[in-house]
Amino acid sequence: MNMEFTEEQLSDEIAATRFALIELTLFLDTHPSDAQALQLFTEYRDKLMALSEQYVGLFGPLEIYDVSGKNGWTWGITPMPFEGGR
Amino acid sequence: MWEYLKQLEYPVRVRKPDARAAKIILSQYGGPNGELGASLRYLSQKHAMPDRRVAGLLNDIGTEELAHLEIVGTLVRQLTRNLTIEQIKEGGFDAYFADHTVGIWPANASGVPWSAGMIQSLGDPLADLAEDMGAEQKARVTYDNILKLVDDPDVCDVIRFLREREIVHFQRFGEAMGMIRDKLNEKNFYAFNPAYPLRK
Repeated sequence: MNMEFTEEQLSDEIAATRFALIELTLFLDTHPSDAQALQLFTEYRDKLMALSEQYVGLFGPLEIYDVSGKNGWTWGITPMPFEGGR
Repeated sequence: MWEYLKQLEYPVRVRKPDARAAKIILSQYGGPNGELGASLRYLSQKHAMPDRRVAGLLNDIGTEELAHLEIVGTLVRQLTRNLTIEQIKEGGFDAYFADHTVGIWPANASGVPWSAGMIQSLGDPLADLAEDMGAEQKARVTYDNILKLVDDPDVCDVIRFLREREIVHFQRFGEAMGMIRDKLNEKNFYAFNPAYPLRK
């Protein structure tokens, strides 16, 4: 685990990875037989899973199923993405 | 169905309030070429789309447009939340402020509310996809216009991201149009509606 990441850095890294997956999804929608795109999709998917796990452990849930209950109801307590900085 | 992800598709970090920019950018929230119309257009059209691959594309792009709606709303919010009354008056935001304070409401830059009349869902795959390609170009031009009117780099960075997505979506809809056309037989040269009436 890379503890040097700030919340913002890790969040941006996850957003960038997720963006690659969004782009590959649309590409694969119209090129379903493209093996290279599918390979990239699986690589970014694995990266997203690992980064998300790291984020959730440090900063709180990204999706509702990340709420373990151990730290209480974190879903409605941690900041909303549209709040932005102060 | 949809489930919420606590992350914007692209980060929005605006440091400087700007009433004038907010008024212009609001058009991509609820204007004729905006993200609300885009999302509802594709998510409505998918139901009558006969090719599953193209229906899936409409679903995926429609879903991304909802993420863009959230980004535009976030931009307007961050541009307006700390405005003083003086700045609201100087920036021409006073008419909007009278009705909505600094809440986010779907309207175009001159205050015309969003309407379903701004979009079409015709149940004809070629007509719908031609509209979708046009819509992506119109949204791209609107973002080009916004970039001519706004110069805050915090804002322009996000607008450029959204503009590029319009170009990618246009490309994908063009490919979808080809997928539908490939399935028409030679007797359907003029591309009459291949979705209705349903043929078995």
